[in-house]
Amino acid sequence: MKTNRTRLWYLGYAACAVLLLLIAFADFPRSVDIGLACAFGAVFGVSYVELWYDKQVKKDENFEIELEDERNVQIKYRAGYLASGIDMALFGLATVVFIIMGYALPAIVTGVMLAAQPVILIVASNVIEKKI
Amino acid sequence: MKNRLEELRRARGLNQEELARALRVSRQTIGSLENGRYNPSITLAFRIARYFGLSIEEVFIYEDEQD
Repeated sequence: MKTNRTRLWYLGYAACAVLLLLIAFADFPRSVDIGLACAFGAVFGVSYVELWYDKQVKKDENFEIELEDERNVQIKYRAGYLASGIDMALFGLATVVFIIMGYALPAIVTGVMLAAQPVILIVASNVIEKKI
Repeated sequence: MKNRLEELRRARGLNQEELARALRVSRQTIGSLENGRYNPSITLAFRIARYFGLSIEEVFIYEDEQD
């Protein structure tokens, strides 16, 4: 028997079909079509992932345990932290390479992204701090 | 932090898979706990202790780093 939650995500697929029909046949301006395409992508993506998750839970009784296992959660957090550090190093490297090659705009973009990392870290820390 | 998890599990005649299922954690977590590579959260420590009908101190042995 399908749960209400599962039905909701199938409704997501139905909404995607409607969005596709609107994009294809309705005479909206281009900017509206782009917005509808973005909405299609988001709704389809979320619906697909949620339905896949439900199927995995039914198929494999250990799936949910593996996902919520506290050690696995810690591994995910630590891996994320490590990946973030590596990302920052790569952004720094890219910025230096762009400066050397004389590409001003890409250097500014990567430089700004690099500079934004500590700010994002502080903001995220403050948000999380209020929750725990 | 040391623990008596392996000893208690063996005394109950359970394998890691069965204990993991009972505690709703992965088998790898049980392995890591037994090897002392991973220290559990307080919630999991309570769940483990209660599962064996013991107190946390009877399962987990806290040693000060200076000891």
